[in-house]
Amino acid sequence: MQAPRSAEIVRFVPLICVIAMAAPRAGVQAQAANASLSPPVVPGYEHLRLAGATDEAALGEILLGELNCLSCHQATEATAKRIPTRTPPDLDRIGERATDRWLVDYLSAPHEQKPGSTMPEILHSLEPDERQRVTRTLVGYLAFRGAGAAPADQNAARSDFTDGFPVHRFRSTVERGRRLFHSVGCVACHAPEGAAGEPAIPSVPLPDLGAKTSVGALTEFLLDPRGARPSGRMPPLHLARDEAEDIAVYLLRGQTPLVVERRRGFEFEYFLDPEQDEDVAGFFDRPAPNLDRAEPAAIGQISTLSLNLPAKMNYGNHAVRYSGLLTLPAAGNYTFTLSADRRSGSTLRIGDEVVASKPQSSARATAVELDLNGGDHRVEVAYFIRGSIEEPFVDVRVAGDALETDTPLEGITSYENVRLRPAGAPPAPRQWDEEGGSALFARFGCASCHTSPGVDPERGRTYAVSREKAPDLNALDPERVLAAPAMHSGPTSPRYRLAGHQKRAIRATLAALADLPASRQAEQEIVHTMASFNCYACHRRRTGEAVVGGPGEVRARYFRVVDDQDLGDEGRLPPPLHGIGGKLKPRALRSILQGLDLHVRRDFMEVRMPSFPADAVERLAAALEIADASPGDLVERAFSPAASNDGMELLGTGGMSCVTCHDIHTNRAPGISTIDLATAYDRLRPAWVARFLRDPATIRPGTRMPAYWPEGASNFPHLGGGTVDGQIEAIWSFLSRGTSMPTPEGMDIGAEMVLVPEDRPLVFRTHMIDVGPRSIAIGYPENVHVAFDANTVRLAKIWRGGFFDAKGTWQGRAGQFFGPYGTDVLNLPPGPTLASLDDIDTPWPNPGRGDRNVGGRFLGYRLDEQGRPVLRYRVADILVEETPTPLHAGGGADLIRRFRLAAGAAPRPLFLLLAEGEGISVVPDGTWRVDNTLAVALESTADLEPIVRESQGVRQLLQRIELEPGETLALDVTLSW
Amino acid sequence: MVSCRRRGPKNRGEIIAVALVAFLLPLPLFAQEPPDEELRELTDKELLARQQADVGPRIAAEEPYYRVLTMPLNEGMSMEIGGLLQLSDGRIMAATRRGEIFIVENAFSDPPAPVFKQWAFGLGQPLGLLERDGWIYAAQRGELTRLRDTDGDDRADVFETVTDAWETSGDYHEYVFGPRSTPDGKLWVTLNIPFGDQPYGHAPWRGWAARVDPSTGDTEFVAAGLRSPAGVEVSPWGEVFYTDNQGEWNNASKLSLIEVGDFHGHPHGMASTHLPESQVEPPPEGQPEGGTYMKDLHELIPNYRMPSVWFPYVKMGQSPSGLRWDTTGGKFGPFEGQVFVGDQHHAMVMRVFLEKVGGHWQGAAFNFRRGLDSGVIRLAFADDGSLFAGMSDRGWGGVGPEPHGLQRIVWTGAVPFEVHEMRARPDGFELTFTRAVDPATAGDPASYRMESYTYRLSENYGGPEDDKLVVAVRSARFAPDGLSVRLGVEPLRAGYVHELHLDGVRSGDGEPLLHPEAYYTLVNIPD
Repeated sequence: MQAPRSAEIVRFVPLICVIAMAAPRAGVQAQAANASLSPPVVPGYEHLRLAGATDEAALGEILLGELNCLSCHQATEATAKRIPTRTPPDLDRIGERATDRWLVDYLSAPHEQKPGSTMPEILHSLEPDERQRVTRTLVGYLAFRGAGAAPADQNAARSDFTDGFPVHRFRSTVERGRRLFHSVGCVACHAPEGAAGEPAIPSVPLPDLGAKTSVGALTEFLLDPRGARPSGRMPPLHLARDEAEDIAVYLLRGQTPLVVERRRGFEFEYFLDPEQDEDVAGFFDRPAPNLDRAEPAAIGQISTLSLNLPAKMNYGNHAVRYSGLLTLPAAGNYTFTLSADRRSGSTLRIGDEVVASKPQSSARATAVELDLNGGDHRVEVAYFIRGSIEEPFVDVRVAGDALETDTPLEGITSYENVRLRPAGAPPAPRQWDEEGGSALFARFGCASCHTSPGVDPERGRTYAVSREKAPDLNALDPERVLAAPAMHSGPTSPRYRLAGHQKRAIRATLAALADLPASRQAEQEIVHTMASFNCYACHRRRTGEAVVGGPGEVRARYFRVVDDQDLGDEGRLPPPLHGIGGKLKPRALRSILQGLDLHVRRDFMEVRMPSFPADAVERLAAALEIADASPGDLVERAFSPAASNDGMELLGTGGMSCVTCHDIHTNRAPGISTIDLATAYDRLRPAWVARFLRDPATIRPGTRMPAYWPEGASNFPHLGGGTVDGQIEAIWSFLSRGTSMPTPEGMDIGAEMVLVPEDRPLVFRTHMIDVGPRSIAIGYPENVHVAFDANTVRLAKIWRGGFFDAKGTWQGRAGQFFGPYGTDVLNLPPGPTLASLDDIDTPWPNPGRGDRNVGGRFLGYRLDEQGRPVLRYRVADILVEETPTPLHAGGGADLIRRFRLAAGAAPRPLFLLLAEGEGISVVPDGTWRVDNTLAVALESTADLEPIVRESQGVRQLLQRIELEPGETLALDVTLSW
Repeated sequence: MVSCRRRGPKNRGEIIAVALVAFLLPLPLFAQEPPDEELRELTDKELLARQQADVGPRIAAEEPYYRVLTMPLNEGMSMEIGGLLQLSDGRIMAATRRGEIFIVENAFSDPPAPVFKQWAFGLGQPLGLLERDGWIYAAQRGELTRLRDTDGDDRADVFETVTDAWETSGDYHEYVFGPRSTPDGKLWVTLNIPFGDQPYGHAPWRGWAARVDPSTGDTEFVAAGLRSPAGVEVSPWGEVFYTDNQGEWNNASKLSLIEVGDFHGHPHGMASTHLPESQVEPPPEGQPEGGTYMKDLHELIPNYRMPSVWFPYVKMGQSPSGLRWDTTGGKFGPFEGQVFVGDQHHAMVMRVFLEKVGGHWQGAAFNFRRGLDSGVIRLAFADDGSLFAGMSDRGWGGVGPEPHGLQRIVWTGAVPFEVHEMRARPDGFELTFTRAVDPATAGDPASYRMESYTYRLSENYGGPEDDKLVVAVRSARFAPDGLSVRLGVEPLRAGYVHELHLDGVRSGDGEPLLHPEAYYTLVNIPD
């Protein structure tokens, strides 16, 4: 917890002062105080030191970068390129995330407020009164700069510094937050709560968050730390909003809880049974469902026990829980009468005890007499129903001596909100002086690092108090630097409180500066970047003889396997990065580091891989490729369906049983569930896969992945030619099908009614979400699938992987609607495929869901020899036959839309809507690229030239088609995404 | 909150204790359960319990006359039948609610050893099949489609949209039934109403019957006010009849003639009567006020169509579905010309005798055969005179032991002792029997018991038997042919179901009736 810690420091400082009384100069006093405060924490630097790094100049470079020295000290172009400045926190909206009080305290003494901070102390040499004036003016300036004037009610701007939580949820929120904080990766850098022992690498300090910020602001920060701290040193951990909020509440749990309001009525939680099939025994079957374990579909507040909730409700099996505080006027005997409709079951809980329950299928009211004290009692009414009924109701009446007869529960029940408020008394009013604030911001050098509108960063390079301009780095005399007793140690210079070893490292760098080129060798660059971003907190990597990084003993305890699956360290610790540049394909390497589409969550691992800024990722990725990869790693052989089939057999339980541990897109492995093989092709270099398969333990010591050809022989001589090479090639061939790979034998497809097109396409009429009530879902054995909207007459969706779950159509009364069961869903533009437009400015038709035959008259379909449906429709006196046709592509099949058009006697011109997006451009091979996600290629018997137009705020790729009477046209549109 | 209803709750204790079949409050297919009127619900429950308590002996009594043969299914096969017919080549074809169409070969062997071939896959809940001009027509949710196997590999390879003139909002309850072909070459389909709050919007023409010209796809919307018209059939004389499931605004299940311009009572489709394509006059006063007796509705709505037969709830099933006229020429027993109606909830087949009185088709409903495996949705006579039954209880539940299946009902050649026909007479009813009756019991008014009741049209879910009266059987005149009896009863009320119990009647050889009850819906009293 933060608050006691800072209080301790505050108490401790005067004591030191007393001891140091005899010292003649204030400077000595300050130096004595120094000893109790941490040097700035740069964890990557510490990792290298711990690993025994001896290149002090290289270590110093890390400090020069992380302490942002080059913001004040100018350097040559080469040095500046080699040591990029670390973008400091963005202060534009600091007033929304930090309290005045904390800002004043922090600016007055940053290292006391946040020991280990990398921000230097600036104002330490000012007299206390002056320091107060300067900090208040700066805080006022930061909060309102550019506004022209302070808001009339300054405190109004602070009203969002309280956050409301329903009281009974507060405690569980703290617990969830604590668990997340200690599992998703926060403690890889920050201090764990109550750790057994001191971590080897110092923890990145947190300020007194309880005094600084609010739940709302911290939640936003955790969701997108780079918004406030663009350097990316605090990376986003892919938190869901409720996870971020849980962590925020945990971190701020020491704030003052305030009950600011009590309102008549209840909080409610609405639960929907995921099993809507009346034949499956779900939790609604039991007389008292355990709603504590269920996740509510909606929560809110309501003034009565009405079942007409202010929430989106659904048909079928559901439950509602109302909770609140029952206030009784006096101690006495009370009778509670619980009644509800015949169909439902319900319970009444007072305190921790269920005092009354009405079973299902009974209309009888239940009454209970209780002796209760006066005052507040927690009360909960739970209502659950299987199916529904015309007039559902639940009602509780209370009678007692001190009450009017027949008092409804809602008349004497209320709920409260806990609000958290930053601790401490409100600060003194701000000094409002924009001009003065701006001047101070520049004068004290804030502007050298933190930008501010209208303040020239150059002005900051002369630090006001010392009146000294920061010297140019390259101008420093190495001899003098090495001999200097201390850096920034003058009484008036900005104070970093550097440790001795940090100073030594920086001196070493400065001494060597003239010899350092603008760029590093690849391996040095990798070390520098991994240290700067503290990749070493989680990952180890061999550099020369040494292995750097890893969480260390104390922190490693917090790295866990989800659900304690039997996966050993491999399942809980992030993988070592030895040779990683030779493992991942170039796009995958960048995508993973940036947290983009190929960032594959290891779902078995609690800790999450964060994402990092694009420029740093590019530097690191380029260096990793130079250091680890060779061009031959990427060479592919031509796809062979026969080899792929052998590969599928090898992966199945009839072969090497890979699928008992590896997932394949939406299909979970039956045993432990590890990395999705459908992503392998997009992520991995084929040569690495071959090396890894041959001998997994050498590449990944300690892995549970077995070696399959220990003596160079295979148990499956009939597959892949029976040779190791042949079988590895077969496996890779199968893996290259990516998200379109079918499921090998032994793989659980996850749901009973999932349709699997095995040998022939499946054509399935249903109602699909986002497509419409008259959807025709078509699944192909090649595992690329489409949905056709027979109302609008358009191809609406394309996806890969699993096809469709028929449960919504086949189960119960068939009122549930589903989307695709697979992945890589591509939504085609709304509106019909083909349309006649009055002119090129006419908007594309946008029909309602019930409108039919908008893009022509739907005629049905016929099945070709392979069982593929040929969709038929007639528009503008042209008969259109469209055959969606799968096409093999590495990483997942593409789709060709084969159009065959035959004009009647009086055809009219038409447009074909090929794609829609924000950006559409053509690349040299004639392919059209849409929003960097989709490629569209045309091939036709006619000479066609698509056009791009802007319409209704989007760009559309259109092909005009004009046929003579009786003329035919063949047009193949290939979609790759 | 208005929303869809699901199957009733399972109360295992009760089920075990009373040793009943799966559900005490089961729901009919394409219909809904009764409202929460405790009194009425208990009555229905008790009725059902009583019915089911002696269902075993009653099924055993039916066995000697009509055998039920079960087609064994392949492992994992779902045979939730929504469409059923015998192909012109003699094989059986069945469409399933999952969207498959099977050809069933060797369906006539005994014991059954059918071979199922998947002829088509992936249709949208086909709930009817028709063979015509080399095509198979199937009603799907969103369209009427015709299919053909052009290369003779026993798999359909052409799927043509005949019409998509009706919109589908996406509500689960928007079923489409049919098509059936009338002598003028048109195809009829019936369109279910949606149920619940229609989260996907409101589609027109729901609760309508539509007539399609298969050569052009032109579609006319010809009759409104339907609710859950789960069975549609063309009579041997070319008129269209349909069954509808009880619920709100259709307070008793029924069999009804359907003609162009009819309004059948449910207000859901009323809005579409104002569309230009409508062939139904909008009710002049709009939606009738809840609570009006249906027998009086023609005063408010001139084109209101009274049903031919009401099926009293629980007593005569809970959810009538597919229907077929017996045109087997006696191969199915003594009921040539009568109508057989499946019931989805009761897993049974009912029998209906119709006569035209005062220009209106009306008549009596009888129990026929219970104890099928699952909820009967479709019936189809085969050329050998056996009756195939396609079944599914998914989503609603029923009394049969299986979730779905295909069975064949075969007449053994023995004639059951049954009321053969029940005709209205100015002062009572004339009954004929399938076998010679005992003059002493049949001629004794004390052998009979009758009551009459009617139904209101209301927003309530199903209606009670209303305005109930005991009807006195004053006389029972035994006819010289030895096969018929003329009952004089009082009062005779037009617009009322006359429920007759013949517990005292014996056959010439002393047997009681196999089904000693009849339900005559007396819309018109003959002159």
